[in-house]
Amino acid sequence: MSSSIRQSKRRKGVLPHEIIFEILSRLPVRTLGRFKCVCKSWFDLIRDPFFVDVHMNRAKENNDSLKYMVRLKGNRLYSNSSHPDDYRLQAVNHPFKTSHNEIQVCNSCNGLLCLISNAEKETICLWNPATGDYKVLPSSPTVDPPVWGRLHIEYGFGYCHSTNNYEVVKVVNYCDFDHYLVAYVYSLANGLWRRIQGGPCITGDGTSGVLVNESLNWIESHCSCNPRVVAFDIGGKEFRVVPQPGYGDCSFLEIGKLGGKLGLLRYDKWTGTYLEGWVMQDYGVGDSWTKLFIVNQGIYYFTALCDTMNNLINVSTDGRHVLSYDPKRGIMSYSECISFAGFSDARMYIESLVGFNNLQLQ
Amino acid sequence: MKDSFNPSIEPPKKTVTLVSSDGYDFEVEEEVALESQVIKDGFEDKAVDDREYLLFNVHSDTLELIIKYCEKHVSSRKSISAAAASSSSSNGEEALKEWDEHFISVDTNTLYDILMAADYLNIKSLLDLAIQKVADTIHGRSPEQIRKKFNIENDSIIDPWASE
Repeated sequence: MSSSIRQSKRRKGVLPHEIIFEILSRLPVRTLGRFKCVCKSWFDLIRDPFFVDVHMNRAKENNDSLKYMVRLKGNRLYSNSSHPDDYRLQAVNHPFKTSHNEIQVCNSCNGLLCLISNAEKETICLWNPATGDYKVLPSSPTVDPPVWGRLHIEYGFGYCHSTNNYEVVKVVNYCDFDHYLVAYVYSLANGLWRRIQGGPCITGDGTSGVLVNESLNWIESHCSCNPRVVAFDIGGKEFRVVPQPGYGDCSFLEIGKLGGKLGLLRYDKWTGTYLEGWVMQDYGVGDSWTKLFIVNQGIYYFTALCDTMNNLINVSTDGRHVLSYDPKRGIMSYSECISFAGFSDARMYIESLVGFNNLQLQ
Repeated sequence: MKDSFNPSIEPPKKTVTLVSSDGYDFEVEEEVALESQVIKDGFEDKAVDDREYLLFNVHSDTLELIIKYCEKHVSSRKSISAAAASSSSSNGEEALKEWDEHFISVDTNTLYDILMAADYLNIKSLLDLAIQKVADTIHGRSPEQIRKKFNIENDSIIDPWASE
């Protein structure tokens, strides 16, 4: 009797739709690309915006699916292998590959990266490295420059859940003219650039914006005052000042994302003998800044990083070694790393199915 | 009656009887049975002497495995929280993870049965474990192998996507 029940069940053998949904939502993008042609219902499912959303959120929770994209001089991009134990970097095809011009890689959001090519004219492109899908944005409004002054442009990219919209933020500074600050924001939903009055003065590397809780954060550096953190809320109308930790005087700052939260490094660039790590537990709440660690030994020649990987916070690197903080055990460690030498613009991203046809923008 | 699930721990605990689709009775401790959300829902409303569940969709071979899983999870949870209370270090969670991994390393048919039973009984952690296992096993397969495995008819009119 028992075997006949098993037989009949096995012959049916078809899994319910909800289970198929759950199984597929745990598969990597590359595999799903292959499985699109299994049958029509799988094809429809893999393109479905709700499925794309669930799959993306699962990828965010899963440490193994975290990838990083690094740029080698010019426009060559590399990412890490999908196998967690394989540290080799692989060359990646990208939309600007044939142009041979220097590109910039902005922060990532939901598996999309923002690329900027500033060769003859500025071209901004949103790109999903996992699927290859991309979209070139219309040109941003031109800025009437003052007669002289050093032009500095900062880009950032983010998503607003309540409006289901992506925005690219471009902050234009003429650094010698304190008053000449303007910002433009491109909305993917309506395909238009809008102007924001009085952007902050940012002199980062051009893509130094840190996305936390749907807000892009930058270090504002007027020569006249101490550096402070400023933010733009995606979908918003103006920049605002982020409450700072309660430490005293001027120091060099670096910000980054620590386990989804805003992290801040305060250090003495010239002597390299002091480094302080902070994290804002509750974004936007000044009292929630928590001091994580202090390093008193020499950290000469280090560039400050502020990044999480394998549950460690990578604090700084000299290209060959990484100084990491383990928040669970509360200790600092120093280890060899994948050589970042010669690389710049290392960006963490997840592999998602988010594309420009399944966005269903409102 | 299969004898492997007779509780022999004193003092005697409240038990529940689970009846498999092929008619075997399994007497299990209440807290083990309550790992199933389906049994948990409305459990309190049932009379104590009426705590018998006919599981039409679960064969005795599968039910035996399901009970083994639930017993392990109930006892591990206890020892983990006991270790936490005495603030002694414990690798209980990692050991349980290893146990889960070993538990779910079964042949395809058994995995399918566990998956369907976990879904039917709504045991979320087991369902997650089985789903993840299926995902891991089909990861590298070709579409043709997938159709065969899931008994799917090829009605696809689609080329594999453009970027690949």
